[in-house]
Amino acid sequence: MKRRVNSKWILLVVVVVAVAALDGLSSNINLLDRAIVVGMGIDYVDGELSLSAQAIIPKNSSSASQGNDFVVYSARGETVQEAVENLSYSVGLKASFAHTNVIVLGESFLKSGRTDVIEFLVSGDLVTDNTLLVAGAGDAKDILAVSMPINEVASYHLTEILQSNRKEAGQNPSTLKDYFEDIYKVGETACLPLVFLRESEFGLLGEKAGGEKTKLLDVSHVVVTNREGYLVRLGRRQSAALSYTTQKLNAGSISYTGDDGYIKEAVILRTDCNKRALSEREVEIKLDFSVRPAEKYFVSRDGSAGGISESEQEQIRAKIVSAVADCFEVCKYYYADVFHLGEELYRMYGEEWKSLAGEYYLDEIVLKITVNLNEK
Amino acid sequence: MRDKISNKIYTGQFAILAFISSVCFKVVMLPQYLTAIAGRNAWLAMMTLVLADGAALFCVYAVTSRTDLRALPAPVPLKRLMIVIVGLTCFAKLVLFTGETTAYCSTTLFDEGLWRLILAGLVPTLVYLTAKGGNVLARTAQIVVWFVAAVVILNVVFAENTGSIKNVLPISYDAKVVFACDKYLAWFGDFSPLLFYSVTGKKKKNIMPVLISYIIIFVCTVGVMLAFTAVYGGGGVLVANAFNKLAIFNKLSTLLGTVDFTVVCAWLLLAVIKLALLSSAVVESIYCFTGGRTVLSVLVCGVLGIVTFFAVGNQQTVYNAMTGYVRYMTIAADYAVPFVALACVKAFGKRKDEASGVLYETSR
Amino acid sequence: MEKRVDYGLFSDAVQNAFGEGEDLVRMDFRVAGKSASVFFIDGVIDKELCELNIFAPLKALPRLSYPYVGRLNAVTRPTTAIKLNHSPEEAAQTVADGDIVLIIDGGEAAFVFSERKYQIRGIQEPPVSNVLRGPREGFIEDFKANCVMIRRRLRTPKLRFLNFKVGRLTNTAVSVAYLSNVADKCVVDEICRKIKAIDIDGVVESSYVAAFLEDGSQSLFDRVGTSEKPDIVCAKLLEGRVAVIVDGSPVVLTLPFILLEHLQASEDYYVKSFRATLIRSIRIMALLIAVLLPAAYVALQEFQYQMFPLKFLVTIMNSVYGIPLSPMFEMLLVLLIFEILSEASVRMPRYVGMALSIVGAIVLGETAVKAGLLSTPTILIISVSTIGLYCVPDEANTGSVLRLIFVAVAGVLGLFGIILGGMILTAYLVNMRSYGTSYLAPYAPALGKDWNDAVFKASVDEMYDRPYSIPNINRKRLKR
Repeated sequence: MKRRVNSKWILLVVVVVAVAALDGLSSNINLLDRAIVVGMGIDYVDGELSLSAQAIIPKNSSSASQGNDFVVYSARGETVQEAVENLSYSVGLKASFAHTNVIVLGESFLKSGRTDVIEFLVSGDLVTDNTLLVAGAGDAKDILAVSMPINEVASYHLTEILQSNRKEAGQNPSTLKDYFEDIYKVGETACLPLVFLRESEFGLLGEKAGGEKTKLLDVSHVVVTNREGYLVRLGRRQSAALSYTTQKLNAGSISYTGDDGYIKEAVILRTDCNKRALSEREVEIKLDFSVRPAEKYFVSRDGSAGGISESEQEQIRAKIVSAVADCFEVCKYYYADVFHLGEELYRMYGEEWKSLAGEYYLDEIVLKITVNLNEK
Repeated sequence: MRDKISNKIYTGQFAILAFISSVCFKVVMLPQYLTAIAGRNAWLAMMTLVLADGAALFCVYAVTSRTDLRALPAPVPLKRLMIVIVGLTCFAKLVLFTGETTAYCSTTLFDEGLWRLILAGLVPTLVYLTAKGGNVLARTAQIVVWFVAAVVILNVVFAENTGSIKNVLPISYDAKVVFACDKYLAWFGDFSPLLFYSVTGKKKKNIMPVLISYIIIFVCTVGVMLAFTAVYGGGGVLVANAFNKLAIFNKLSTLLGTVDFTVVCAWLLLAVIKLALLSSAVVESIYCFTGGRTVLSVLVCGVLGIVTFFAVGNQQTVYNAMTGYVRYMTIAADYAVPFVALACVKAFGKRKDEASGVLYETSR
Repeated sequence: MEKRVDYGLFSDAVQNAFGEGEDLVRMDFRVAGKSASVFFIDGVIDKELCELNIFAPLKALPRLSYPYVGRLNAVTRPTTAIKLNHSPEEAAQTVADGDIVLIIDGGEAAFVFSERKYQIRGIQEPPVSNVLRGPREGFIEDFKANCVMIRRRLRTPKLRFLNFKVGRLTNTAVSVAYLSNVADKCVVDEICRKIKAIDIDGVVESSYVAAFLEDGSQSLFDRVGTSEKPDIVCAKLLEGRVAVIVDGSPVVLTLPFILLEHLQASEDYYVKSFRATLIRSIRIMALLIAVLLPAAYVALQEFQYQMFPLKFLVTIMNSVYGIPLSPMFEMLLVLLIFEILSEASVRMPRYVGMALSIVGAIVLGETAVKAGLLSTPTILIISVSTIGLYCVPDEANTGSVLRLIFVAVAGVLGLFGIILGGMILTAYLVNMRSYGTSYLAPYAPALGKDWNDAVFKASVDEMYDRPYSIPNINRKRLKR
């Protein structure tokens, strides 16, 4: 009995000492010694990576409702790891990227060909794979640092736009995972939404005192990249066409000229896209649109009930086909298989097709575009 | 003196241990490895090896429902050889998987790479679980599996459809698939540790739980591989931790934080049981020749800790070994030994052996 | 040769056994011309009844011939049978037990009358077993009353009580109750053997006996069930368990014991099964939250911050800004303060309870937070944890220790440590047994037939068999 009691106490002492000793091994960093980064920007300056981080500054408050301040830090390095370390040294806080919502790749970086950086972001655990990846027109640092309306920050704003339920036509949100999924397809082409700053004469609350203009973030364009980096920037119309085919669109509108001569809008409720290889050289893109006229619930000018006539539908179809074809032609010029047609053919015809197709298979592909409109 | 530690388990417990043993380490780094070789057809490699595992599983069950490796009716030199092969293979796998677990925890749960701390916590846990014996491990698994099942179901129900199953096309069973099967054999054939246990109970001839367990193993492993390919396509070569990364894509991710802690916890629970099963097999194989299970548990896990301490810094060496000569030892231990053991049981008949382990009195 | 009592020697021996004790009453008188003495403890007997039915008839007895017991039976009107004590030591012990010893010169022995009457507490609802629906009777300190409460519910000759005396100085009555057509005799015999083997100077509460009945070495977890309600004990007897009633304690022990019993309440059996299932699930969740939430908070704050959603993380960062202590020490400090409050609330006099409660709330809730010593989330988490702990009051003591341990482990190893600690704890619990029953039955090992009364609660008319996890000799409970 006595021996049993003693061994229990000895064991307890051993455990307490072990726990205390282990505490010494854990050089963990306190939460307040971290800079929680919500937006990351990568530029390429003077042969080095320039990493910018939009981080939250904690304040003495019992809730987040009173709002926190944000600050943009930046540091340079040969690699991402080095830049992150330099960032931590420069601000005196450990830069922590686990809550990074968006990564902005600056124009200089995209043109530098530093593919190892993006590979590191996917293969490492610095950020999660569902982090939004966008291209920035100009420097990523400027985009992160922009002053936004309603006291928001750029990274929050971008996240809201790109993750909102109603994705406008032309917005092609892309995550880190999406990027790599596309890069490893046949054609090795991926698209990133392009963010650029647009000055607005009027802010949401009217023109600011002192004439300072509000800046807005525009993501209606797309940058096409391949393994080496930047290829081409698509315009608004081409970006919209791309968004039809990637099924990442839930909203938007298409304008057309009505039978009565007036400009009308057809609201896009839903899109669906199916790609099908018809032969070794021909691929069909079949688009299904559910639309409704913007003025459906109003009596039209000529007194008739709202609706889209056959000719108007034909017009809309032609517009969509034209946009998609235009996008294809532009990308074809740069050998950018944005619609992943090669992938469809590979899936259908296998390795044999791939080995015979060669690098410039896009030149030989015939794209057939079919649009089906369902009026709701 | 009667052995108070018991290695007798019931059929349901056997099925659960088989599930944990098989699925756990096939869903972390293995998908990346297979994708690197077989590309989009990595799931075919997974399916092939899991089918082979199925044969081994039912073979192991056929042996353990009659006897166990220690009490096997076989010529003594042959029995000793089998025990040694299984023990060595289990130790090699233990080092590999402990390294993987340490790496996983170090990158997922800690951002300073505190792998020494992880080892310092893991080794005593393994000592405790190993010293308690197979019966306790099996019961622990029975409790743990409830949480794991709930997590898996939640993740499936709330999964976000962010990939396309067409990413697995075109399907072709080519040389790369065969090569992948050959190279990563060490990650399969996980049932040899169960040879040291014996299945008991009135319903031990009922094979249904084992069959259901195997179906779930098949669905989980091949399903995860398919999902991995569907989500990442060819980009999966860059993704080190499939299970964790796939779990991020769910509708609750904004509520749960950027790491799905439920998945992490579930996987860790499975991993600890798997590691304990392997260390238990090593201890049992040595125990056949010596005695003193508790001392052996401390020794084995201590050696494991020291070896892993060096292995973590030499992951490439370990990887090369496991994909090199060690994998042939795996074939012997995980596929040949069960069949040979079953042949011995059929040929020489059932023989009682009191040293096999005695069940503490229960109400059943 | 017949042996007769020497009045002088015997009486003096009994008197001397009590020494200078002032509560011993000795009355000397004559019975049928013979010297006689009566010994009893003041305040323990029903004096009026004894005077009427025993002393008066004895004093009026004209003649008394050997052997005396037959004549005494005829003239007196005791409520229990007259027993004989053949030695002064035995007689002294009988007096100490609360009976009356009559010594008559020349008698065959000393005669024992049992006419006890002393102040006992009224039957009330136990403070920790409140129910909205169901019986509200609770056990009291009187051994006989407790046995009677069980007997009133189990009106069958199959209900057996085996009585023992435990404690060299207290001679505490201990009774083992079981149903002979249900309980496993091996379990009963084992319990009786352990009770008989108790060699201690005194037993003042059932927990003393419980310590000897527990299997194996000391553990944080109870391995003996307890209950203060007769309906619960009877229900357990019907399942095949054995009850141990200890004189002087309102807490009755039941064996074998499984952990799930602490998660069950008597009310679960009196309400609808859906409600019972829901409530049991909530209890389990509450217990897990109570034990693990503080540790999880510390772990996530110290190591795995990435598991917080962003907005929640910002709130926490803002809340802990400026707090001088590390998360682990802050949590341990608040736990300590709550333990102090909890202990004080039990001990403090009612009159100052209100004032001190307000002080405690103000000190913790307002002042400490405003002073920047403690953070609001920590207070909130400990409050939730403490409330959750008392959803399962029988596990409150164990849970409060466990949560301390888990907080310490989480502070060192984070979530990884919590998982490892959970695994070790689970392995420890599955390895525990209570008289052949696994502690985590019916989940480890899995006994599907018992799942109708585990977390999920089936209706009473669907529970056909007695639990398979408890040893019993008669499985059938309900006719199909």
